[in-house]
Amino acid sequence: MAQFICPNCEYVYDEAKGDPREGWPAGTPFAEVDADWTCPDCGVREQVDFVPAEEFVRNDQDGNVISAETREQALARQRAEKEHQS
Amino acid sequence: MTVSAVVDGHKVEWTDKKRYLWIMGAVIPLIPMMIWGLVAATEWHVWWYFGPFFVFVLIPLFDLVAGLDPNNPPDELIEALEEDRYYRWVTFAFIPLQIAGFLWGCFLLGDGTIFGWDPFTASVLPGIAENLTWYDKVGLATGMGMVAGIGINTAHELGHKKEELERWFARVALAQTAYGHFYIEHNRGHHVRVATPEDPASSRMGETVWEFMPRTVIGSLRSSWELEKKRFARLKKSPYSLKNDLINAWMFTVLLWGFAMAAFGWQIFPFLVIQAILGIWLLESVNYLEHYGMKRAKLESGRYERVNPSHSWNSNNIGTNVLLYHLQRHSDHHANPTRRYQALRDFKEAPVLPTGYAGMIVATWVPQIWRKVMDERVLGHYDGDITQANVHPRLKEKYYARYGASDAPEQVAV
Repeated sequence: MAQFICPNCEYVYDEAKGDPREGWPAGTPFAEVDADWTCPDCGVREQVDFVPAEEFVRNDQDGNVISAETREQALARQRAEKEHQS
Repeated sequence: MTVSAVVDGHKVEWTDKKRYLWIMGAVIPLIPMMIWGLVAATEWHVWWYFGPFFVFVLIPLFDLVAGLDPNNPPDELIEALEEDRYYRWVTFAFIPLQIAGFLWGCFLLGDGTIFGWDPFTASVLPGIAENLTWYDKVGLATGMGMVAGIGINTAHELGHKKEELERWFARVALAQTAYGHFYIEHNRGHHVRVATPEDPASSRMGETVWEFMPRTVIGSLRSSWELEKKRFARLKKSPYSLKNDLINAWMFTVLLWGFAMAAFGWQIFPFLVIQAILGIWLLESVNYLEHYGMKRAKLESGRYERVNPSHSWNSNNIGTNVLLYHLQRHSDHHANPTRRYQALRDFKEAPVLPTGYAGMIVATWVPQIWRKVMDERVLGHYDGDITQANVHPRLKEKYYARYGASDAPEQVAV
């Protein structure tokens, strides 16, 4: 199962976990996510803009400035939500 | 305080000159208390209307006097700046003060009793002997409305964050105006379609603020419901659920208004409506001027080009920037919506308004003045090519004729 990353805010879509809150149950392949589905965190990138995790180098913000903490919080929140749902 | 980081062996340092000024934002929710102080000190009824005077006269004057702050934090320090939790507490502080100011105002509107108990038997409040007249109450409601509208700005800053706690705080800040759907519509609707003719919250060149109001208020509500309906359709559930982010955000209003009416009397209801309408109007006025006339180009794929700094109006005025948590560094905000206010930067190439948002709102009241100030600027921004602007369909012919469409851009003064 692959992971895909929002190139703006680094939200991670993990196929194994999906994003149940957004209507993508665990195991939903990223290819089955709507093309016009927007990133649930920043809203300014769509499914077609996401980058496979292994190809992701840096986000497209000016100066690549996103805090590691922000990234970590997003991951923690996603984890907590997934646990809550299951 | 100086932020520093070591990058490639070099120490980078930067001092946030606005660091302690940010606390000023929390002065706004105290407007109902200030009004009480002013009335008690002078016994002048006119002070009940202090709220709009503060927002539309004092703040714009302050902007003109205090000037601009174009300072940007260096890229290397933005991470450190975002992680400095002090800045978060500044926005958090707004919320309890907003609730306190709101209830304080409601206490006055309800003639000084709380659940039937009259704490100041000889007066409404110390210094205010008589019950407020109806026009005093309308005045107080306008002041509460100013707080309510600026509260939507605080909700805006919080609602963009990845942290769940901040997203809940955003809903609390929206309770006063009953504008809970803003949190969904703004992030998932407005940011996606900004500066396109499809966005109800992006104003078109030539559109007056009074035309824009019903279009954005109704269009945004409709769009937010569609967004949540779509999400619930994917979940194969009914959208009529407390898990619907519109409904749970609106519940905060039911709680807050319900409590206020239970404590201070149902008679305050019309004034709650007045302050909510004014708050919404204040917020939507800001929406009006943030993207006036801006249009993203359509790509061959049928998608719009990505939002870039050229699609928002900015201002570096210190006064309004401090009170609005850098909302006026709007280009950076739209390019990077999750970025925290203290880290937002001024883009030198982005279009700039002649003054801060508060003063610009005053200019929206008379459409002729607004167009005089702004239309040339929109045109200048597009190098005289009117076809690149988001022109109101009603005025398209007129504008194209006046500005020579695209065939003679060099004739237009910039």
